[in-house]
Amino acid sequence: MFINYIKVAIRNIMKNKVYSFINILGLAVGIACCIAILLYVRDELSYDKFNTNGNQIYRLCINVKVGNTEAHSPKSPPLMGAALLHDIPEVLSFTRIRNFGYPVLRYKDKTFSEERFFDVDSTFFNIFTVKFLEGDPKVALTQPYNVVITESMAKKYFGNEDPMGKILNADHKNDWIVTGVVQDVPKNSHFHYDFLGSLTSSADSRSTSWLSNNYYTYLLIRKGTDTEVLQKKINSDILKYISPQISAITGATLNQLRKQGDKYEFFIQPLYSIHLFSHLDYEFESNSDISYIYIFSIIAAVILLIACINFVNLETARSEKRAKEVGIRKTLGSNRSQIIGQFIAEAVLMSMLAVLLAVVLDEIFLPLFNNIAGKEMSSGIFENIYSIPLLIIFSIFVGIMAGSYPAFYLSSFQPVKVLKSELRRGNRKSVLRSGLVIFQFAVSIALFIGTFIINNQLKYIQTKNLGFNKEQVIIISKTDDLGSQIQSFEKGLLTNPDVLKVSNSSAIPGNQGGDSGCSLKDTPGNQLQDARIMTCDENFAGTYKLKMKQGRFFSDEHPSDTAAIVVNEALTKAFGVKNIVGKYLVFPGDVQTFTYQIIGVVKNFNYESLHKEIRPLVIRLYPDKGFGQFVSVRIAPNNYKNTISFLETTWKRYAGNEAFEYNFLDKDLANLYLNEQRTSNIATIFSILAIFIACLGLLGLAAFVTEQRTKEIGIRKSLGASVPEIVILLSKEFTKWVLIANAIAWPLAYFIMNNWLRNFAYRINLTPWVFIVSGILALLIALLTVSIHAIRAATANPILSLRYE
Amino acid sequence: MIKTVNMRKIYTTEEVETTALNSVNIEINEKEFVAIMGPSGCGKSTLLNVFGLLDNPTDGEFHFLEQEVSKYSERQRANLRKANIGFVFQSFNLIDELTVYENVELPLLYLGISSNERNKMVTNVLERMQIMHRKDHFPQQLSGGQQQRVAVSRAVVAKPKLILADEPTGNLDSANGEEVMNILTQLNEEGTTIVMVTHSPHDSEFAHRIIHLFDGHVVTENYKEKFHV
Ligand SMILES: Nc1ncnc2c1ncn2[C@@H]1O[C@H](COP(=O)(O)OP(=O)(O)O)[C@@H](O)[C@H]1O
Ligand SMILES: [Mg+2]
Repeated sequence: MFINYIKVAIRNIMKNKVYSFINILGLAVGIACCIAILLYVRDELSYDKFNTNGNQIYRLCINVKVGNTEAHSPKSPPLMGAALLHDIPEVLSFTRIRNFGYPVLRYKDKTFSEERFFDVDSTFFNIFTVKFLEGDPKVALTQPYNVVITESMAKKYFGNEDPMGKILNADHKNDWIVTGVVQDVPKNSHFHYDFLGSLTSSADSRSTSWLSNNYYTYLLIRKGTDTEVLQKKINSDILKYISPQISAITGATLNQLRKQGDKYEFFIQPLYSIHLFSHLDYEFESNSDISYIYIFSIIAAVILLIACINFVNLETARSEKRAKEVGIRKTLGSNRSQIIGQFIAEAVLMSMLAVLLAVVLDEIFLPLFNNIAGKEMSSGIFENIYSIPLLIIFSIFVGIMAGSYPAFYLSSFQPVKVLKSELRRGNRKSVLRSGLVIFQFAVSIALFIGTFIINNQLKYIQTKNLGFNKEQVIIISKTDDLGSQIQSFEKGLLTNPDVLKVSNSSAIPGNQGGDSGCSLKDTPGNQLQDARIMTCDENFAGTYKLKMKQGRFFSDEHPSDTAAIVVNEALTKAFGVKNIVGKYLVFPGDVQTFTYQIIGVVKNFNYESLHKEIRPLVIRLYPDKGFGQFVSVRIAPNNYKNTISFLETTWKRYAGNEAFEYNFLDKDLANLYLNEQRTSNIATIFSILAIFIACLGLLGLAAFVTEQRTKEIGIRKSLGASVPEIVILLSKEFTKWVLIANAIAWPLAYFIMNNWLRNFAYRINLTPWVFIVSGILALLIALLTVSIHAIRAATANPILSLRYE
Repeated sequence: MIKTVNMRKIYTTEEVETTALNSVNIEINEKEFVAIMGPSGCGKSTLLNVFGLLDNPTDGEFHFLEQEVSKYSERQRANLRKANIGFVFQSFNLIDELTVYENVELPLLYLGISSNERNKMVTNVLERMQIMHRKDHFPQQLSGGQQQRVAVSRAVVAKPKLILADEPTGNLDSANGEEVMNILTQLNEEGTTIVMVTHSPHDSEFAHRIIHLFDGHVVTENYKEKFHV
């Protein structure tokens, strides 16, 4: 019997090739989206799972608020790990990670600047799962200046030589001896390194300060530990170390500070939740966010639903063609459940074909998807042994979901009625069918609107006046390698007329240094205010075209400016002082307190991403011969290729073999919105696909409706109706559907997108035209789809269509 | 085999009530060949549908094979039907997507008969109806007469006790019609009960008894002398 069903199903598919193709293609595209998103989600959820002890690993983080100073950071004091291991039995082991900057490494003639060089405790390999290709994890990092390198670094520096025991020189200072080679860090890790140096090499690792938070500390916790309790224990235990040091500086005990509403607490994060849930300052890498998982999962479900709705619509529209078969089968003794089974089996067959096609589509388009999603998904579809059974279960699920309604509908036919040839011609005005089409279009339109708004917001960000000029600025990084030669380098650059301005600084827009607390001298309460702090030379304002609000920027003509400071409007506002110029800013420090006189207020500029409001900023001047890690170069807009090669040759003259690293500032700034850019790309693709699938369904439906009305069209034409009149007649119903869909989509999209825009301190306002354009676009696409059939039916010879009866 | 007592069938559609059958009392014995005649719309097809357990009567009694079945559920009727009744329609009603062989095989599939047995039974009946050479054709590729022979094959393949035929020759030319009537007669002689709706006085000659319907009532019943109870 089953074979009989399959035979009939296949013959039906073959008989209505166009229809079947539309139906299967729609389903396949929907399923392909779904699979791609499931792969994406699976990849996101797999982060750090390669660590065999992963569910026992936690990261120590700090949450501090003292006065106006705040820190939310995954770094903790140097002694923290050791103290916890000693005091708290649930802590089985710990390891610390520290990044001392980007060294330039050398081996023979090979020189590279390395950004993923970390110093770690030798216990690193007890905590994390690392596969050693050479060397012994137990001893690899126990001695100073031992380094473990990854496989690809071994290739990069040593080619085919054996790396073990070789020396890598860092910054002409330290010689690191290679004591191990490990596999590259899997892509789905929240933290990637190329080099792991032994932390004992640095004296700072033995610092006893409890107030400097510079070490990423990971703990291995005993199985079954209640982490809430552990967290409490950690906080109360650490008090005894930290409290005296705090009192020494603030003059108040930790408990007193807490009573004032201040905070000084540690918390622990499970390793597995870092990638999707942690958004602290100083993350190793920019993490993803669980909300993307939700958004994309919902989109996947919605697209699958749209595809299934097509299936339901097309099958029920076609039902009259199958009515006779149902009648005969029932006459021959089939009962209803057998008929239901038959049609569900047919739907499952179709969905299996669709899944097959979807897998092919995914195999073709996954690299593209990876590209757009900014992913390198570590596993394809078939790398998992569960994939094939899962795909089969999935296609059965989709088949049942899409096939149930048509099956129940078809099986309800009474043989007595359907075998009478005078059977009513299918129910053209099915409420369900129009409801489903309206739903599909509502979702598609909402996706359209969402895509438009995301794109508009991104465009707004890219063109917003940031308070400085980001065009034609090239950033040369790691200029601190030049040391005190930096001034000569800058002078060298300025000999080229296409180099307009040059400035050396410790930070640049989009890449800011640290925060520091400061207070205004001689003000009541000595209120401490947190401010970003950067250091630069006199040319910074000129290079970035910053505007002054009051006073002046640093200048060569004032040699005493090294004792001066420039602040931004936000800081003035934070202190609530009108005429701040001439006043003194005080920076209390561990060892020494610094005081600067304010000489100017710079107009607010967005030195951080537009997600954030402009915060207080203070700008200091480099003392003579001081230097920072960035040189910003403003160049003339024409022949910038030549200018760049000039920059490079000049760099080589001063820096010799040091790597020349440069970027366009506007590109760097665009990277601040990478997540949004990716979301926007994905949303664009999926909204196009959603509307594509919805239109496929419409195409199929339109075909059936026009076929049903062939006779009516013939009669109308023979009575003198014109082609446009017929087309309008046939399109009227679809137009109505799309209009209703708009009414549903608009408020939905408004609500969701308004929420999304809250992520930005600087955002566009929602204007009605986005909604109107999306609605009209959907309507046009729908009409175009429908008219393909309507025009064909309307232009056909009426005699032919009348004879068809 | 069939006995009805004051059986009525009323169709209700959109507030219009149509009494298709009214106090019908008919008894049909095994091995009988009965023709039902009457003007269009008098309820012939309705009667046949009730006999064929495709529809329940509105009230009255309906006995089929000594069982009172007028209140049977759809599933019960389907089970009784597939084991005992074969249908032949005016419009053939073959499934277009199935070949001749597969169409004829269908009732056996619903009866759950093994594939070997099915093969034997289908081949048998197709040979007997002289349509074996067309077994892999689809219905659309056959002439009307051939299609009706396939339909008859399908009706008899499961060896039903009762064959119901609704104007079986209505769509056929006289030569093909004659052939179908001969087949039905032969089946009847082999012991199958046949109830046939027809407009054609010629076809009704093949029956032992003719029931005349008018406006849902049985008007007359004529026995032919050649049938002896
Ligand atoms: N499904 C139905 N719904 C409503 N009325 C019906 C239905 N089937 C038949 N009828 C009505 O019942 C009467 C008998 O129909 P039918 O048995 O088909 O007549 P015949 O086969 O003798 O031409 C007719 O008046 C017809 O209109
Ligand atoms: Mg009739």
